[in-house]
Amino acid sequence: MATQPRITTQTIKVLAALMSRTQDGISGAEIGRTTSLASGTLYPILFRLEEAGWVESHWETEDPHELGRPRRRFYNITGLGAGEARRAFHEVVLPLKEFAWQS
Amino acid sequence: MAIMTPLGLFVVSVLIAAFSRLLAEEIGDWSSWAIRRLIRTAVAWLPDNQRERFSEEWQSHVHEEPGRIGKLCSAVGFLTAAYEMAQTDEHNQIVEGWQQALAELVDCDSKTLEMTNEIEVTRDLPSREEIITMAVELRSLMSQFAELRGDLAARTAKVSCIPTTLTGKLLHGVRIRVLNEEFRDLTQHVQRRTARVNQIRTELRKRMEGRE
Repeated sequence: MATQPRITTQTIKVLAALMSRTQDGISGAEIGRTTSLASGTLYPILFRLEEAGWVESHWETEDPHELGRPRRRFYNITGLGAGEARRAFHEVVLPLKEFAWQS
Repeated sequence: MAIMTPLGLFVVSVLIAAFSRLLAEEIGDWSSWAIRRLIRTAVAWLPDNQRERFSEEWQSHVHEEPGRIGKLCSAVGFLTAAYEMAQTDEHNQIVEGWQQALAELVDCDSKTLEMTNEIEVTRDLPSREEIITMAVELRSLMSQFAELRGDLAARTAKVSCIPTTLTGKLLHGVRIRVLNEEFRDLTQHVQRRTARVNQIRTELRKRMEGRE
């Protein structure tokens, strides 16, 4: 059993990017562009989320020889991850917004 | 002399242009080599079962990045990513081992409690004095287990999260290794005690069956 991932602002950004593309999945490079996170920060987060079962990943089905480039790996948020993401959003992001609004 | 200066400038600019092109090609070739090398180094730091996957995934990531500098920066980032991922994997394995040991202790504790309760309510045991001595020994072992359990639970809680700062991560790596060394000694101690508890329980069970 993996430990629960720590909810940081970067983790929330990654979860938000994953929540925006629940159908076909999103590649690591694309998540990096969406969240402006460097590869050194992004992949450990994805790794921890995957270990905890919040995220799952799969290779694109096209043949890399036909594509003329290496295969992409797509990430999808799981049901558990979506629930945890919503909870994190309500517990962390909303109170911060309220605090910013009041101050 | 007046003609020589523009001519000289022209020759110098042509040379600079040619040299810049050569330099750009050189840097291009060198950066591709450096990227391949960085990915290979980063992948070697990962746990065995993750290497093949991330080798391909990171090549694909670099392919998606626009510009040589962007590609190179991503490749450098893979080194820190791999270090942190390896640390997470080690952390999870260690904590998992600790949690398993704790679960074994709880299981052994509850079974022993059942056994001692059974002895207490059974009055007509043959060689009752001897059995009671065994039960007392069991209880003493179980109280030692309670201390060990508390110790293990405290250790597991202490390292349940990997810190976010770089210094915190480095310290965490050192701390978890030191704790794991201590834990290995504790585990051996627990195993010896568990073996003794099981031995006493088997003996008690035999005697009680003999009574029936």
